[in-house]
Amino acid sequence: MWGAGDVLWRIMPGTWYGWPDYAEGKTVTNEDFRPPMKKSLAPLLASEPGKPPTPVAIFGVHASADGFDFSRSNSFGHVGEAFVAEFGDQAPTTGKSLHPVGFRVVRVDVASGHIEEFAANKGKNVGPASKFGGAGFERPVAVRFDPSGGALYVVDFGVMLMDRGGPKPQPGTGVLWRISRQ
Amino acid sequence: MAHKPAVSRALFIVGLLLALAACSARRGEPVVGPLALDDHLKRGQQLFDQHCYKCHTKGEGGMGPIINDKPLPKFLMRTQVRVGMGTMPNFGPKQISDDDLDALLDYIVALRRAEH
Repeated sequence: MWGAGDVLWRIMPGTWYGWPDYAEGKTVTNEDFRPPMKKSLAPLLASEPGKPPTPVAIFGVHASADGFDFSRSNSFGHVGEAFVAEFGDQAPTTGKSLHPVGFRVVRVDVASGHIEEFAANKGKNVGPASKFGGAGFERPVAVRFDPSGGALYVVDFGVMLMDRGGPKPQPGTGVLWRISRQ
Repeated sequence: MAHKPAVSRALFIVGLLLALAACSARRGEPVVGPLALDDHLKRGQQLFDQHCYKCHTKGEGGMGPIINDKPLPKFLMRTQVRVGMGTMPNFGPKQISDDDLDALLDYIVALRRAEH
């Protein structure tokens, strides 16, 4: 749906999270989701089973927030925050984005919903490392802390080229990153 | 080639805007470090996260344009928030009160000023 960001939910038993008539806790008729020059979608349900809650956090549209884990160790820091892999947009096939978004690991203060960049490629531009001829993230897809909590492992899908024909993943380019304070 | 003063001023302004626009928009914490936020700016950050982040991720742009490197005066930013533009929806006083809009705009200015 146009304009809908990925969300982080806190799951509570017995709660309706809004599908198919809500996104981000907002009705599909919200102006956020009306595509340019088009009408808003209409709700599908005759009656709603409840009122969806507000998400913990809303990520950038098209960022593709994927695997995440919580920091549990003071040796790493940011205890209690969620570290989330952002795979990155798949423009042009997934819709318009003025600027690339994602291609990094972010951390989320789940109490406030504030999202902060944690690990990303150097330089002025956002995007996969291969696009700018450097070394670094291509497309982070999952993260997990080691049992000690002192190191964060990031699964990187690798190079995935995009054109109007769709995704073109490049074999043999996936990597596993390890991030620690040392 | 000599320009008339008004033309020279216009060219200077355009050049300044272009030069400023060419600066990096990266404002993530690994780039500029943690921002020093008082209560007013923390409220602005909260509002930005709630209403703006998904399209203007920390001002760096995404589905929406970069907004943390443009030398726009606050009254123009205020107008755009209240009126909307293109695909950007408008946010009326019931969604963002005038006081909250002040905090939001001050936060955007703080992002703009964050040093690399």
